Formats: sequence, structure tokens, C-alpha cells
Amino acid sequence: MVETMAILREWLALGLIGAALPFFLGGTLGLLRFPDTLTRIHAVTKADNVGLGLLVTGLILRSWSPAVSAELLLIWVLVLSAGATAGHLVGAAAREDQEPAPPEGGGP
Amino acid sequence: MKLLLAGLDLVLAATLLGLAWAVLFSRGRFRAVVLFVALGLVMALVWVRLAAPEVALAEAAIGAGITGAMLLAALPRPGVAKPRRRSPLEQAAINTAGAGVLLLLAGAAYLLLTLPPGQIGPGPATLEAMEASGVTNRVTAVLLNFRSFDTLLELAVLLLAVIGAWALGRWRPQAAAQAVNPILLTLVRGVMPLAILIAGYLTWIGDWAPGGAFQGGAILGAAGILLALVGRPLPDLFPHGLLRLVLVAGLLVFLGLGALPLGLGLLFLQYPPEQAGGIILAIEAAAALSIGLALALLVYVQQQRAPDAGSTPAAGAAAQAAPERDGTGGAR
Amino acid sequence: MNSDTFLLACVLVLLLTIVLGLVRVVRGPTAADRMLSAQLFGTTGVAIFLLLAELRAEPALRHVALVYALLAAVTVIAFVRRFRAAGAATGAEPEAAAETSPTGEQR
Repeated sequence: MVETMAILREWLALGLIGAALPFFLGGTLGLLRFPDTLTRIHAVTKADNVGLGLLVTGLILRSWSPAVSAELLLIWVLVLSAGATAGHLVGAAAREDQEPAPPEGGGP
Repeated sequence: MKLLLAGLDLVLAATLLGLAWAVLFSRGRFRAVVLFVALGLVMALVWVRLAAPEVALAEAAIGAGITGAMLLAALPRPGVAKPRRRSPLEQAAINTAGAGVLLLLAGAAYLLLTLPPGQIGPGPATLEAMEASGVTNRVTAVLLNFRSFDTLLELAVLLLAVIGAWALGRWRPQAAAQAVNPILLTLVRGVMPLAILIAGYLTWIGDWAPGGAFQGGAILGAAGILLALVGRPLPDLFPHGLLRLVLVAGLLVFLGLGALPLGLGLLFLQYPPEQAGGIILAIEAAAALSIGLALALLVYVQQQRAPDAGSTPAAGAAAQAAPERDGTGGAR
Repeated sequence: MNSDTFLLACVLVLLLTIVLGLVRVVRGPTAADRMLSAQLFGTTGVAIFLLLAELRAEPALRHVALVYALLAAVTVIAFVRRFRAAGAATGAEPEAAAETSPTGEQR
């Protein structure tokens, strides 16, 4: 019984890791093909982070150790928060590029 | 499997060379800096492939993070610097140098493929001495015990770099005059304790796992840079006297503990084997703090120059008020 | 194909996505696009390090991934702050104005 569980876990883990690949590919593809900066932010932050989440889940299943799982989850949460903040900042910067804040004295 | 490995190595090598060329000859400096950060990542992957996790750790921390920030801080304000045209002589020199490097690489590749494989890994003398080194990690044993003299000098060089940079310019974090996004502040508030914890952990495990003072120090440096980026630079948070003390603490502790064996009739830096582990840990702790502070302070030293046209009035006022503050800064 | 080969193939694919991302760095056209690429390198780099840690059974590589995640964040923030310093008009966003550091005023 334990062996079947282990084999099941292994297959599930590999499946999740494999499933993460299209998300990473999609993220890069979006970065290359989307029309402007603001849309590219979606590709990079969302697709890549979901891919990383799937990867992390697969690796947790594979390692099945509390310490490793904790570190993996920490990494994922860190990348998520950093990605969200970076996406917000880059978006604000790109937005300023497109519509500069109204100048004080009038005239750019 | 072998095919995949070869493919991986090929992609890594080609990307490394291509990135290096692109960094040097990129048209925009900002683009070159981003490419350099990518180069740091590929370099770290190469270190992993070469079975050198300690170096990969250091490369990920320093090459990807700190050097990027340092290069960015050194960039001139966009629109101020005009791109130079290269004279034909310059271009010829660059072409010759490039051809020379390619030739060297080709020669090295040839040697690599034709010479018999040498020994990989530590020699027998190193392995025998590991017992008396006080640590289990071979890299730490070499850095902090067998060749501790080199590491001592490296710390001194870093300190000299900070002193030299200060002699040439002033501490001036660019973000000081800007408004800070509250979302960014929240992230920094969450990340800062984590960074300190990770730095301490990495420094501590250096005795038996990849890690050590430089890796921990690099993370502390990145934390210091992050603080400066959100307008709370270290010189504003701590008394300058304390910062100066921490800067030299690594070197002083190293010298002090290295001189201890002299009292026992041993040579300088010849740690007695029973205490070696503790001595190394103490040195690494102090060194990590010094390295972190040095890196954080190095990034935002800027040359004294007149306020440029591209800066906001607030930044201009900051530039003019800063010299006065630095002049009386020693009194804090 | 055994699991190690599969993982190695995944590493290769991820590395190729990074190489593809380099195109965006080179082409731009805005600095924000390049900053986004840096963000991509961060996330994908972490993924590669984690896979390599699994492949080589080296826990140290997970530490490398953690460190890289941390520092890629710092790098992107440094990029953005640098970019805003260049083009920031004096009228900053109102909700952020309250967060101006006190030392900014004193200077």
C-alpha cells in the first residue's frame, strides 16, 4: 500500500512539474507577443507565478519532507509578493509613461 | 540523458558568451545593466553545473542583486549623458581584443579536449588537514583556516574600497527625495526580517554546508540597499559612529582572533584545532556584518556634481543640503 | 525516460524560456519592458534552481533559489526606483505623498 502511494505521489509530482512548463512558456510568450507594457505585466506576473506554484507543489509531493516543503512554500510566497509589488510598480511606471502626471506649471 | 546534459551545457555556454558580448556592446546603458543581471543568473547556473554551490550562492546574491543595484546607481541620469561615437582606432582596438579573446577560448577548448583529465577535487593534503580545521565544509575550511590570510586581505580590500569611494564622493541614495509607494513599503517591512534571518542562517551553516560570511553578508547588503531604495538608508537609521565600528569590526575581529594563537606560541592565524570551529564562527559573524554594511554603503556613493537639468527641484535641494549634513555627520 | 531525464528536460525548457525573454530586454522598447524581463528571469531562475536542487539532491540549491528570489525582488525594485527617479515629475501620486520619508523633508 505504501509503495503504491509513493508511486502515485511520484507520478502526480512529475505531472504537476510538467504542467508547470506551459505556464512558464506562456509567460515568456506573452512577454514577447503582447502589444504593450501593461499587458505584458499580466503575462509575466500571473503565468509565471502559477507555473512556479505548480512546480512547488510537485516538488513538495516528491520530497515529502516538512523542512523542504516549508522552504519551498516560503520561496513561492516570496516570489508571489515580490512579483505582485514589482508588477504594481512597473505598471505605475509604465502608466506614467503613457499619461504623465499633470505638470505643476502647465506644459511638459 | 547525456544528450540533454550536452544540450544544457551548450545552451548555457552560448548564452553566456552571447550575453557577455551584448552587455559590452549594448546601445543603451540601462539595457546593458539588465543584461548584466541576466548574465549573473546564467553564471550562477554554470556554477551549479560545475558542482560549486557555494560560488553559485555567492553569484546569485552578489552578481544578480548587488552588482545590478550598484551599476544602476552609477548610471548617469537619462538624457544627461550623450552617447559617444567610437573613433576608428577605438573600434580597431575593440575588434582586436575581441578576436584575441575568441582565440584564447578556442585554444582553451582545444586543450580541454586533448589533455588527459587531471584531478578534480581537493588533494590528499587538504583532506588530511580537514580534521584539524574545525569545520566540515571544505570550502569554509580553505577560506577561513588554510588560506585565512587571503580572506583577511579580502576584508581589508573591501574596507579600503569603501574608504576610497568615500574619499571620491558622497553618500547619496537616489530615493531620498522621492515619495515611496505604500505597497513597496509593506513588502520591505515583510522582507527585511526575513532577509536578516536568512543572512544569519547562511552565515551559520557555513561550517558544514554551502554558506558563510560572504553569502550572508551579501544578503545583508541587499537588505541595506532595499532600505536605501525606500528612503530609509542606514546612515539615517543608525548613529554614524556605530556604522563605522561595524564596518571595521570584521577586520578587527579577524586580526584579533588571528593574533590569539601568538599568545600560545603558535603562528599568526594558526588556530588550535579544538577552538578552531568557534573562532571561525566568530570571525564569520563579524565579517558578515562588515561585508553587508560595506556593500550597502558602496552602492550609493556618488560623485559630487552640480545638480543636473534632469533632476527634480527636491533632488537638487537634497544634493545641496547633503554636503552640509555629511560635514557635520561625524558629530552624531 | 526516467524521472531524472524528465526533470533535466524541464530545466532545459525553462532555460530556453529565459533565452527567449532576453529578446524583450534587447528590443525594449521602454525601460519598463526591460524591468519586466528582469522579473521574468527572477521567477524562472528560481524554478530552475529548485529543479536542479531536486535533480542533484543538493539542498543548498534550494537556498540559492531562496536567495535569488530575495535578490531578484531587490533588483526589480532598484530598477523601478531608478526609472522613476529619472522621469518623476514633481507631482507624485497623492496616496504615496504621505509616505515621504521624514529625512526627505529635512534635507
